[in-house]
Amino acid sequence: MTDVTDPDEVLGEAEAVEQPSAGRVDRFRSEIGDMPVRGRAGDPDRLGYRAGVALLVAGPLLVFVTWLKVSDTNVLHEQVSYLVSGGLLALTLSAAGVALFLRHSFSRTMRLWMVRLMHEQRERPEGP
Amino acid sequence: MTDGAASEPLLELRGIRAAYGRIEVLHGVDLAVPEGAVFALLGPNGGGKTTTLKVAAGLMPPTGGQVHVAGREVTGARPEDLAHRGLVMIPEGRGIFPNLTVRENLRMNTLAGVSMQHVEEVAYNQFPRLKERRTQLAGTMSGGEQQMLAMARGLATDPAVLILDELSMGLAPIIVEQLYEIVAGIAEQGVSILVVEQFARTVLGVADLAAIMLHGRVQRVGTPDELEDELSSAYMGG
Repeated sequence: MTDVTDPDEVLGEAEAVEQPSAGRVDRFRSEIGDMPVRGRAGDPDRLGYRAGVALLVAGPLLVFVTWLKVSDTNVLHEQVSYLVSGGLLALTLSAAGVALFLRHSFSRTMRLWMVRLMHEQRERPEGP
Repeated sequence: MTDGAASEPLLELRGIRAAYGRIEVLHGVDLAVPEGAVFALLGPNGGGKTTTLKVAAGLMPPTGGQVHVAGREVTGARPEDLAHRGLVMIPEGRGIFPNLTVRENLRMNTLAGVSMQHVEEVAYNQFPRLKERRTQLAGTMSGGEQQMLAMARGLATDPAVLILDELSMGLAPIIVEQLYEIVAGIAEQGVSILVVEQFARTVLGVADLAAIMLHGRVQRVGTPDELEDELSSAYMGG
């Protein structure tokens, strides 16, 4: 699609813009120098996603270990102790894993959805 | 180009590799934008130009290589951190809010800590037409005016490095030429500019340096005069 508006009418007379201060680049260098950089591994979505997957594996593993411990003894209070400590911890880890996994999967999905919306918007005819 | 061009580049990519899923689209891209220079990245569609810009702006993490800004390695830095300090990208498709007025679009820049007065002053001085349109919905303006709004928003934060992706998209060639005159004016103020453009001839008129990208690699870097003859073969696959 091509814009057919008269360029002179569109652009008008561009007035002189105030020159940026001579120290703009120096300030930029200084600010970039002070900027925190977390590196490639610092992507919170990627970290959260991986942590979620790890917890989702760790939770059921702990359930299995707890089951082994419980089945290893006939003493009731020991079994209850294993269930309370291992079982609850396993459930907590699994719940946290599900939450992290969904949260960080959704944010990736939502971002893709936004990109799609922007793409569709771009495809629409432009204004008058 | 300023004297600083002789010193270290303001933006530099070293051996950048990037992938969408398992498909690698950049296979070791090297380029350097000197201080105050206009660097044009040219080449046919699918060559990896936009992906290169995304990596440079921090919008896409590279799978390999390094991004250096003002002499410091910033690979993996958050795009908002880079933008806040003065590395600004104007994306393909302008990225304006079509359902907001011009003034409301400009107001978005105040979230970056800039006063509305400053934002409007910069925008309306550079693009007087936007002042007339300030209460109009951005989506109802012409393509040229929308592009001006996108550029005004980018300039309002006082950038040191400006990244432009397909400034000419959907615009008549004569408007593109006018916009590139403004780009040249911005570069004269000391802003380093990395630009991806399909209108190769137009952008070469204002560029200090240019590179031809093909299949995820920079094939050739040089001055516009040096590259002009090679452009046709690059676009025609010759």
